[in-house]
Amino acid sequence: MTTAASVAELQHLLRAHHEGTGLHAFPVHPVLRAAFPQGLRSGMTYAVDGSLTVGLGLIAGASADGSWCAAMGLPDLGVEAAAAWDIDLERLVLVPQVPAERWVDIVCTLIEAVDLVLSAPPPVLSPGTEQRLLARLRTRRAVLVTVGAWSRAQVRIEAHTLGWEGLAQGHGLLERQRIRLAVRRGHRQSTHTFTWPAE
Amino acid sequence: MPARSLPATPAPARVVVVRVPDWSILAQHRSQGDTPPLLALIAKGKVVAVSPEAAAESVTVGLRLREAQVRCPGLTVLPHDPELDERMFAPILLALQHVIPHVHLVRPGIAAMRVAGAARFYGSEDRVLELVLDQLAELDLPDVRLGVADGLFAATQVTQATTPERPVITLPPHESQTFLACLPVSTACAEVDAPEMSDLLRRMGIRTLGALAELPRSDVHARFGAPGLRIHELATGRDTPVLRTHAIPDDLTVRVVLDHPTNDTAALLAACDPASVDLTARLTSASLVCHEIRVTVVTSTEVRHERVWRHAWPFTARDLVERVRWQLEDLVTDTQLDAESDQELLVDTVSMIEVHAESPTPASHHAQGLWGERPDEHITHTMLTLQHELGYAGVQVCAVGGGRMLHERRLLRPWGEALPAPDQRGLDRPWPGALPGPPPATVFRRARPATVTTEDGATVTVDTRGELSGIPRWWRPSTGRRRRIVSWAGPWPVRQHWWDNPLRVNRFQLVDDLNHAWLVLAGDRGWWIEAQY
Repeated sequence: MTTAASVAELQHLLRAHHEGTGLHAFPVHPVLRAAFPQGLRSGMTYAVDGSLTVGLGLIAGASADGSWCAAMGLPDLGVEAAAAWDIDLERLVLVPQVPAERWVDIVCTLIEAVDLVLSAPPPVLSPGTEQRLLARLRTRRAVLVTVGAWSRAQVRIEAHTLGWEGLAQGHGLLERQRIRLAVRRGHRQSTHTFTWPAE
Repeated sequence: MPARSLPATPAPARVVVVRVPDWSILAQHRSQGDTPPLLALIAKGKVVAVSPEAAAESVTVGLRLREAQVRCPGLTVLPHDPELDERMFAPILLALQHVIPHVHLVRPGIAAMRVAGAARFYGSEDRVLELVLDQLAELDLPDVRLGVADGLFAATQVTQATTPERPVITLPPHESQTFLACLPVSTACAEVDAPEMSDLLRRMGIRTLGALAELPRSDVHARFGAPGLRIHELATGRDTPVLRTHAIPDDLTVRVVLDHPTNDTAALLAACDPASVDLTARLTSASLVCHEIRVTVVTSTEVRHERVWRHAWPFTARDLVERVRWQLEDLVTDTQLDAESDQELLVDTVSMIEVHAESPTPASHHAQGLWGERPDEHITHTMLTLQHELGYAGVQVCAVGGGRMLHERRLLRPWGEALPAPDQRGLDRPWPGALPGPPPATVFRRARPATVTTEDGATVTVDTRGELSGIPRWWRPSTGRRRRIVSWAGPWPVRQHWWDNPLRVNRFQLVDDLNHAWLVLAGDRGWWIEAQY
């Protein structure tokens, strides 16, 4: 047996072990890898404030990896922008209109089938409902990403566009934006900047 | 005298042709249940079929629509549907098959069969014709014409010579050529689909098929090529001896007739359940795959509600029942809307539901992956559950299509319905005015109003030559505060549908002081937000 093969096997074992203990994570798009070196941890909730582009980017890596994704409550989602992130549209389900009182039920139904749910921010949830939602996310090993402020999310991401390249006074064309991400997990905070679309 | 027949050419078969006059009109009538008497069917702007009442008003086949309407102002015009003609003709073919096993479909409305074998079996040709008429009598056809002659062409022409008083004409053997000799050349030219040739032949002094038949075959061939050769064959009575048998599709229709008409959806669906299982079982046993079904709901007031449902994957029994459910729900909504407008409550009960598998194809044609493999069972199941709660369009799939406006580039279909095939999405076509650069993440379904002003507060306008009235400095969405424009570019003209409902807008890209980038449109009636980056 070659060294490479045995290393691969060990990695596989290690991954299986992690999965067994619930430390399973979904990969993220290479552009966001610096901000999320561990990927998206399954069972967690993420809230992206300030940019739908970043929200799409968060689910992109897992979609390209073969996971099914759903976008709910986002009727104005730009499908082309999703495709630009390499989200596989064949494995993307849209639930454009979500009544507020059914929000949790629909998330719970969706994660029966899909791994990642990109959603508009939830209505006000009672603590009991929220616990139920988190428990379901953990058992299904799914990830919920909301676009818009949600203070109860376990990971909160604030996205700021620092500037656009390509556009001038009366001429030019938007080419790429620099985005700064402030990622907050509990009391830890880290800041990252990246360019999208990548050069 | 040229040789009447070459030794190598076998003699044409004795053929019986069954013709139902005005079939397209009749098919329309039989499918709709009730059609206006003054009816014309059109295709490509020309009349292709006319009801007898309209024909009496001198509307003829081949007229342009405008002229037909001038001749008969009360004319009802419907598009011609060849598939409907064929579908409605299937029961007649089935009935004929009971008498003579191999039926050849000339075109919907005309069927042909070889009669020699049947005549031997039943005793005589007349006996066969009697049996055919008996079979057709059960189908409630107003008018049927039969013709027997040597060869398909002659027999078809014989049915044209029939009248309502004399609906059956039998030409004795070997007399067909005498019959054909006095027909005008245009009949044969129409048969080979070369109408311009008939004009030419007439100007050459050849008016009848008899005159044409006397010309040497090689000369006609040399002058007119393959169509000429075929016309000459028809004129000399050397018709093709073989009739292609038309495979009559199996009856893939299930019908649920309710003894007690009801408008209770649950009861109706329960009644449909065994029928849909039966239909899918029939499809499976015939190794057929069906991506399209036609559901017809007939109410007790004889209102038919027909709809075709397409599916990205082969239908299962559950899918069928879901489609029936959605159709019933639509029907209820429509009825309620009608009731509101008419100020009276319509309580309509459903008396019959029919599910027909449209254009099934052999399962072997569907290698896995051709239509996109059906997603895992549990995903389908979950999405169907959601559709059940949120409605048919509540769960959607998407793709990127071609177009100038961003919302046109977003193709959405309800879950389970097939998206257009990649080569039909128009992505490879040039779209002058389409937006280059990175696509925006938010594309509004309906553009939102906004204002864009110059430094002194005047609204910026774009004239027909693309000149701006001032430099955009401020902008404000309809809800929100005024923002400074940091950088901008435009106008990029988008011109669409200039012939019909024209769209003339100019696109701008703006970046405001919050570093938000927007795509805005300047139209005739102010500014609109198309998308946000």
